[in-house]
Amino acid sequence: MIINFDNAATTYPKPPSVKKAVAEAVEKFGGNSGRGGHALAMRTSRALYSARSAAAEFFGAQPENVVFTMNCTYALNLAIQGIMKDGGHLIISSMEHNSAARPAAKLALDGKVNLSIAEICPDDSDTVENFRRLIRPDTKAVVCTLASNVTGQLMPWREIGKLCREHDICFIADGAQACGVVDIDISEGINILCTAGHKGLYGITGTGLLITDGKYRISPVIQGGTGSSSLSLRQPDMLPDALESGTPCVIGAMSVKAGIEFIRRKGIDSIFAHEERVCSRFVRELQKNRNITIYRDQQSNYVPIVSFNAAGIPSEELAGELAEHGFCLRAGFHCAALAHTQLGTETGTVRFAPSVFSTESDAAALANTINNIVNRKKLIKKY
Amino acid sequence: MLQWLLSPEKGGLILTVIILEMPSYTFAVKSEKLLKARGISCELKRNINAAPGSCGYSLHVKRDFNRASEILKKNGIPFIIKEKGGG
Repeated sequence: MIINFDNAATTYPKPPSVKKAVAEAVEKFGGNSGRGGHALAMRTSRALYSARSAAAEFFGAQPENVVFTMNCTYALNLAIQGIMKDGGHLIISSMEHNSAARPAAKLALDGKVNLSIAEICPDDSDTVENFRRLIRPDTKAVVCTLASNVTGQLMPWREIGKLCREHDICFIADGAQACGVVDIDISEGINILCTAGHKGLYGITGTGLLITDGKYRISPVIQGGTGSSSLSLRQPDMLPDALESGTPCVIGAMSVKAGIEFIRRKGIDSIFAHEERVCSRFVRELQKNRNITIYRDQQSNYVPIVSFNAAGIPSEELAGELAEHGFCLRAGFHCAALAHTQLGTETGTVRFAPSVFSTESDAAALANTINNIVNRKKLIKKY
Repeated sequence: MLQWLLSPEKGGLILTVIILEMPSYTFAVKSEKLLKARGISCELKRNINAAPGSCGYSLHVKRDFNRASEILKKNGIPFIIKEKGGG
């Protein structure tokens, strides 16, 4: 028995339509997109464009401003390194995943940029104020996750976007945990949206997206074959080619397209409502146990993710025991050094992350198992 | 240039097709969709002799050349008028 509550890492299972799209892509789209004029290449190129177009429509962008990457980390690296190429001041939030924090830290440690960290607070207006205070004349970009991958806290991204627009600062948003459960249109203040294809968008692993409004030029950090301007040794300047060197993963792109279509059919609000119901049930059950700490604050909004700890039990130990019962949850530090430092969670947390396929009864069964484990361990300690 | 091409009395040709070279495959398909959605007949083809800055694909527009050109310009799509087929 496998019951997956580790969907913040990657969603599983995938919708049947995604599995079908992958099988069809393997069968039919075996050409190299944008390279060659034969039937196979043309068919594959059109398929990739259709995926690009679907993602563009979903996030309010133009198809040429959608770049397929191998994951969200890759997209964030392209964005951060590409925007900060000539130096300047960069602000990131205190809840960033290492996918944003590490490239930012690397640039700072190499002396190429000045880096500031804005503290995320339970109150959104405090958070926005923290960003505002750090802005300097040479601030080039703000990087902020739309939702924390540890606690699920939803950030005031529209307000941060507005702040950036007022100061002509490029706003790079990490949408890995929000895309697919929160309606996101980049015209609402995001200049560059980076996200995973394999999480809330229900594509396969090895997929990611960088979507831009085109306002800020992203200098390519990878060069290579694009199928365009082939006689020139200069990397093309035009998107998506500028940032998409090498053969793209058409099969992955088609899985993302099918995932987006699945979300559209289900309705993003209804997906959020369902997952939040599952979370609420889980939280209600856990709150019955006074030895459990849940990292949610009444002042904040959340995407359907719940981080928790049981007193005296290291997170990895608890997750290990749950795995023996068939429950898949991620414990530890979730590749989020900054977030866990701010939370003060010395042994990390256990993270509960449902998907559209999760059920309230499974959440209740998990909570019951957690309570039993915690009570048993407490008894053992007592005697 | 387009006007000249369309004026036989000025030495241009009577066109039946105009070939627009595209800088990227994405722009080529986007252009094709934009024009077809507005009832302009066109076809996406691989170039025989690609211009240096092109992606190797071009759009063969069969009529309404001026309108096609305006639509692409309005949508910010760069293109080069490469060849024309005479009638």
